[in-house]
Amino acid sequence: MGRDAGVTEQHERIRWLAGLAGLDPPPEDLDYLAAGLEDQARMMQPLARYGNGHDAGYPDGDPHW
Amino acid sequence: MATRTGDVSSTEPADLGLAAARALLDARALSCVELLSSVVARLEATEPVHHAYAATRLEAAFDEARALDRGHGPGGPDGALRGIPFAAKDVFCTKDLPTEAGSRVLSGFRPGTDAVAVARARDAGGVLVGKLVTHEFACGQDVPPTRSAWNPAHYPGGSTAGGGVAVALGSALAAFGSDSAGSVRKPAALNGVAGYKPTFGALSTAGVIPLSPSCDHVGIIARTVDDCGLLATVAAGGAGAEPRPRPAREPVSLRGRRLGLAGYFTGAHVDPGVQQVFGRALDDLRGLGAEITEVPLGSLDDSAAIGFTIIMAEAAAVHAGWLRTALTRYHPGTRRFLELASLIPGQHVELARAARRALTAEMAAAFRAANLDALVMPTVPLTSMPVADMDIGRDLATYIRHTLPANLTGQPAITVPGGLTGTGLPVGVQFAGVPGRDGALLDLARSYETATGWWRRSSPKMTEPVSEQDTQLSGKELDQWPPAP
Repeated sequence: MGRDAGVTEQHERIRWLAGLAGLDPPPEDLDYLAAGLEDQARMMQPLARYGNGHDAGYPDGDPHW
Repeated sequence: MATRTGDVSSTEPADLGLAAARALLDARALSCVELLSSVVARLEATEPVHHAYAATRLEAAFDEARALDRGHGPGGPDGALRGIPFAAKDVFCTKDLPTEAGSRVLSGFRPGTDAVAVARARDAGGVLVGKLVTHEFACGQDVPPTRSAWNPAHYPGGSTAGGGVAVALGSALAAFGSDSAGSVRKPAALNGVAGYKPTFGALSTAGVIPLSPSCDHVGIIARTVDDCGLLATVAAGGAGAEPRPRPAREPVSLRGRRLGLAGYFTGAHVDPGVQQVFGRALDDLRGLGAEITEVPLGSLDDSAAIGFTIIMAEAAAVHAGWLRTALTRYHPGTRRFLELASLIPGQHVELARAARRALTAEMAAAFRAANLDALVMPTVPLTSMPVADMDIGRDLATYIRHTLPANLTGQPAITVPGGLTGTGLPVGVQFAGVPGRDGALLDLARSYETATGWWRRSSPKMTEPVSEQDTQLSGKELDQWPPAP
């Protein structure tokens, strides 16, 4: 196993997630997908403030111009 | 080889704006066949270098032009686009040309019907010249063969890659494109022409292969604001409802008009040459009487997270079937992008939707508080760059940074030429207005356009003969794509 174990586990997890979406990504895409998911999670951190029901007072999505 | 002088007022029919050509056709000073011949000559001269078209229908187009000159054909003698050669991005369905969206997934696809916008343009007498090159499925993950009208070593902008180039070169007088994050305004700005994204929903997207249905807009690339407005009016079908995008005939005064400037659009990410041009544009606008006011719009910093999450999630849904049945037929970059899109957690999508509502609300509040007519900004923070220097993963977010917000809020937005950098590359100035008030926005943009006259500048490259070296340029990925069947 050695140092590749973590990468392999991550790849397996991505394959499993992709399987839920009906996809079977080729092996050469797995590193890209792992990095992309990390970027996605990092990018979303500032948007966490919109959780907990916060909706800027416009629940109908119809702001007044 | 056609030559150009750098000023469209002294050149061939292919260099005319749509409205100007229409006036000459009405006066019988120009025939539909003469106009089309000029456009086709320009197309044949430039395509070997610039590759704006994915497919053409020249013979059929000449048949239609001849019929129109005889008083036959759609639209009749008063058709708003009678005899006007136009083109459409290859995500617009067309009944008599393939619609492949730049992808082997749709190789040979012939939908047998026109997208609504294309059908309405043809019904008004417009002559469809062909289909324009697009990034695969408008995803922006591959490097198309199209090259800038201003420098054939440079990226032309996308995803309507062929649109800005064709209009700038005169191989079409106007073009339809789709715009989900700036895909009409970006190539227009980088090629020195006008690009208009109407209010969300103003133009039907029926018959346009979607990318992200809540962000997708049908947009228009043309030489002038008036030309954009005319084609938008035709594409809207004359329903008479707002927005009514065709601007007034005379330029309106900008005195007292209030334009908002947000820090998000003026940071260090903006290329120094673009900053310089935009600074002059602000001076011009002030000189015309407009009031420039700084507005706090902190939510704009969330635009990339919101936009990428929503667009990717919706694209994953659009492509779900093809990803299962035709995965290997995608370009590798598009394939990976859509695979990643398919893995985005649902909670991220919901957070992005909530953040999008907050951004829209903050934008509306800023317009109310400052009594704004529009926001003003450089359309693209960068100029076009050499294809050899491009890294899509690195550069895409910066290229769409200023155009994406209006896709999220649904605001109408238009880019007009704002001048040239010291290296001779065009820079666009974008105005983003109030949803449903497209006419007022176009009036404003037209006044700036008329006063500054930058739209008259055409590609200097076209004054030189095409060199052998120009025809051999290729992007990093072009050698690998398309793969052998």
